[in-house]
Amino acid sequence: MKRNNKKALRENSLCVESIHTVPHAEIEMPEEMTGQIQKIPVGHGTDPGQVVGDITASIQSFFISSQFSDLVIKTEEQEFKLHRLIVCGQSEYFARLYKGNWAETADNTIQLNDDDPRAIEAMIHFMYGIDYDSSGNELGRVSPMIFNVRLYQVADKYFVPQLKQRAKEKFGQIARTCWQMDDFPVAIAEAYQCTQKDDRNLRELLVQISRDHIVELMKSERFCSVLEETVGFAADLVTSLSGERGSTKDHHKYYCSQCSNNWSWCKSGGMHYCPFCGCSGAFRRE
Amino acid sequence: MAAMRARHKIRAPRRGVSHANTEDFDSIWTVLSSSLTEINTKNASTLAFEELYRHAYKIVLMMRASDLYEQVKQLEQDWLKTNVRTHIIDSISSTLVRAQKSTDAQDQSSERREAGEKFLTVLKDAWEDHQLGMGMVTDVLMYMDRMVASRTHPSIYVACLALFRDHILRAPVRAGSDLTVMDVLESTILFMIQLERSGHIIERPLIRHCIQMLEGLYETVTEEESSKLYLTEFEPAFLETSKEFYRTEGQRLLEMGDATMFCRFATQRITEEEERCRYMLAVTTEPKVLELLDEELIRNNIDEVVNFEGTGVRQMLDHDQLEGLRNIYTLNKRVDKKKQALTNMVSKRIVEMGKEINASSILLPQAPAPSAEKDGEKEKKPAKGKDKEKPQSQQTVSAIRWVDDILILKRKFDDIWENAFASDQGMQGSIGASFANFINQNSRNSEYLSLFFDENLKKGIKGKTESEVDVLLDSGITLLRYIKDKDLFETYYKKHLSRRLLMKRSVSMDAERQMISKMKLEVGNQFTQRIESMFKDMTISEDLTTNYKEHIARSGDPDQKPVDLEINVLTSTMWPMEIMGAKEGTVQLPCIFPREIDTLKQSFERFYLDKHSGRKLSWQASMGTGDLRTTFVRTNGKVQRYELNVSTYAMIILLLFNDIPDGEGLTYDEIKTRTLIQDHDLIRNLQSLAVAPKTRVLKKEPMSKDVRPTDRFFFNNDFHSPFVKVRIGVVSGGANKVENQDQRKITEKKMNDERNGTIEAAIVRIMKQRKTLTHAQLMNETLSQLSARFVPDVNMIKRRIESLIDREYLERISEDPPTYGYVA
Repeated sequence: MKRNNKKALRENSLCVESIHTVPHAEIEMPEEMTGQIQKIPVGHGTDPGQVVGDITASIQSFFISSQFSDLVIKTEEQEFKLHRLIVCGQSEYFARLYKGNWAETADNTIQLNDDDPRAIEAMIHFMYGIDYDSSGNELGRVSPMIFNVRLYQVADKYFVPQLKQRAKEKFGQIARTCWQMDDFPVAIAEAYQCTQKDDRNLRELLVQISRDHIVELMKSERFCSVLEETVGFAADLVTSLSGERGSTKDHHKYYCSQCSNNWSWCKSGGMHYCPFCGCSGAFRRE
Repeated sequence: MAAMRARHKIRAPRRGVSHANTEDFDSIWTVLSSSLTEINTKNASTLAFEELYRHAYKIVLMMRASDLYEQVKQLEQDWLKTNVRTHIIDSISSTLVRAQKSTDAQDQSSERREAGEKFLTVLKDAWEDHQLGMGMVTDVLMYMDRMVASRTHPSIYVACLALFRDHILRAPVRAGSDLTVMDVLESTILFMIQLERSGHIIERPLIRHCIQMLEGLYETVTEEESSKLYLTEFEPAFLETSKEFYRTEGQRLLEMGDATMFCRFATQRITEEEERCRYMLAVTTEPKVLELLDEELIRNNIDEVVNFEGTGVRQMLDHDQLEGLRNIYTLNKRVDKKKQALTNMVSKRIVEMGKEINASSILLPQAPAPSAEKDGEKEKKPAKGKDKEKPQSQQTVSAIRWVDDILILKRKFDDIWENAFASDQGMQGSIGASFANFINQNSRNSEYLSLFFDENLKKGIKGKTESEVDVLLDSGITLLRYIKDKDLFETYYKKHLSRRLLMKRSVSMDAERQMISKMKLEVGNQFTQRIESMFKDMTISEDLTTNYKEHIARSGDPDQKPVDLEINVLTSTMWPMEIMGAKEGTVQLPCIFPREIDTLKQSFERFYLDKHSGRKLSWQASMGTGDLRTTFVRTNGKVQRYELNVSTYAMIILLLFNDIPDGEGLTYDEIKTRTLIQDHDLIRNLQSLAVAPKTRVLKKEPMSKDVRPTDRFFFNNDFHSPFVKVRIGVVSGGANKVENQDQRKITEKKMNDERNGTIEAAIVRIMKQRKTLTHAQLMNETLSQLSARFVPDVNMIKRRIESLIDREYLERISEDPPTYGYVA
């Protein structure tokens, strides 16, 4: 895990920065130590690692101290005193919220009760340039695989594109190694529920891993039930299994303007009806 | 990994919310739609963004995004149709509907204006509310928007704004009427603009807001720039009314018949339109409406305005109305890069004024001209010099005035050009051409200009500072630029210069040198070469004089009465021959110098030829002066001394009387045989010595004005003058004056001869280089080579070519096309 994390860090500049400025970042810790209290790196002015004018460090220090806070985000469990400038800069959701006159803008408090409090917490940390631990923290343990799916969903909902990317990467690394574990089918179910149909990021990954290990997975009862219950997953898997990789070359892509669905169909077969809504004239080849 | 698995307690996926089925759509939509209505009624501040967003998010996760999209659209459409539209239509009073037909601004203007303002305000408010509400709706529906709008649908924001266009602006004003809200809006704004054009103050910000609305709405959902309602609907109508307006405005202003007023109003209109576009309409409209204004108001009328009787450009030029001219210039420049109308008028006026100057310079001498013509012969005979000189010196004065007048005119137009025509390059060119035009209409321009320089270098620059002199010379040089026949000018200038130099009339040698260097800059090196060598001769002569004096002092015979000699040795080819009295084709016989002078002459010749062997000195007795110390013995025995400054000839004549006993005289013929002075010079000198009343050193018998060969001359011991030093000028000698007809003919003939030489030289130069050339090419090159000096006559060149062929410098090579070859 550690190795993998490092690899991912090299790919994510945002987090590389935090490593550079905050040498004790929690991501450096071995997987086994994650049970300890999560250390949030402190970027006080006295920190020898801080460079003059280092904006990340100063922003993080304000996060710790809640100084100048002008925005509160509440979850079911926690309350975060945050800064509009940071939050709105990272998320279009908050930016738009603050554009208008709403109940939230009047008292500067935003209640986010509908989401996983751990995911919201991680998202807020991420916004301040602090990487998150996939397995949760002292407030609650969670499967890293499923946690990343939730984080992905939250990032999608609140429009934090970098977090989305990061969650996807982390999820991919974990899922590739831990597909035989019990939480893999759960992750499939959850990912298919909370993301859009054309958001292929997680779906592709899941289908690919499932296909690669289909024989072993089919032995799992849980997997089989997910295969039965999860809308779309079985279909995706079949498509993937039936066609070799890159076989989409032989397919035309179609889009139906009536039901807003798109699909591929092999070139040899004619397409006369939309397979989703059954109309015959509203779809077209792309 | 194994350890981890054990520790993880797997949470079940959160179901419920995200697992909602289609039944829930309606319940969520009910909540959402009531909130959206709250937004429409501007009650949003109690709503929680998070809640609305969450609802919309849920619906999207249900994959009902497009349903939501359509529902929202429907809701907004209903809202506009039921609530907003009625409100707006109510605000359109019947006055506005009635006034729709007539665009005339004056019709019930105040009533219509009031109604219009009310309507615009209501519409503007409705639009702004709509825009704001749709912004909030879009924010809330952001998640949906991203899902749906990326496809064929426009963003919900765009879609909802377009609803305003379809259900408000394009809604009929009255049931069953074709008239739409848009029509009323358009005509109301146009009406307001007409009001403003006729001088009323209108509610600009209000109109600006309405225009902004039209700029924020598009014909299509793809929102191309060109499909703005402003561009598709309003602007064409605006331009159409503007065109109409400026057409009539143009007529109205023309009828006023005052160019100054026309310009003032037109300029004002331009600024008005610029401002209107900038602050009320769109910047992009500015060039369009100005183009139209230019066309209707200016381009179609400028010719008439320029030519307005009594107030047009002519009047402005005459009265130096710089502001008026500046306005006309600016207007004309807008519509015509060449400013043809104005340029033509200015040129015409310059030529007119120039011709007046030409005429007045001719008019003066013309009056006494006939008598001068008649007495042409008389002039050369002894007469009362003063009277005879009058016409000529008058002519000289008028020549100088000609130049002065032109310079005044030039300064005037320079001033206008600089201050009113923005130092326009093209205008400068045409002004210059006009000056050249009338200056060259005066065939004596070169002579006049040279006289002008002569006058100034002799007297004019006295007491002037260096920079003033500089300006004066510069302006003279400017005229030289316009003169076509620069060679003729050179001839005159040399002639006048030589007089100045030899007679020491120049006020300042610095100014003379300055003049040369200015000419060199203006006309070129070749032009000033010979003039410069004249200066060189002068300097060398000064040295010679001092050297000779030293030489005499060293070797001199103390017995001899020394005669001071100041000598000018002139290189014969560089100096104009006629001032030396040499007439073309005649060999001048040297006169006989008296003994004293002759010794001196021989002594100098020895001295000079010693230094420069192989040269020939020829003495120009017609030039130069001599100072004589003269003793007059009065009848009462008293002795009176005078110092006489006389011409060389007069000196020779007077010295004759030294050898003659008192009381005895000499006849004209005796004088002639003793001196060998030619009749022409002799008569003139005797005239000034014996006839001119103030300088009568000799007595003549019989006393008459003319000098006849039979006359006898006596030394006049009774000569009397209030001054000790007396200058006795020679009749019609000295000063530089306008030439009379005969002299002029001579100059012209000489000029022609010289030109022939120059042309031949040019032809040979060209042919030597090119070896063969066609006739046309040769003509062209010759013309371009010579144009700096003069504009040769084509026939003249042809004759020169013929002559060169005869003399075998050139040969004909072919006939078609005619080609010449160079014969080495």
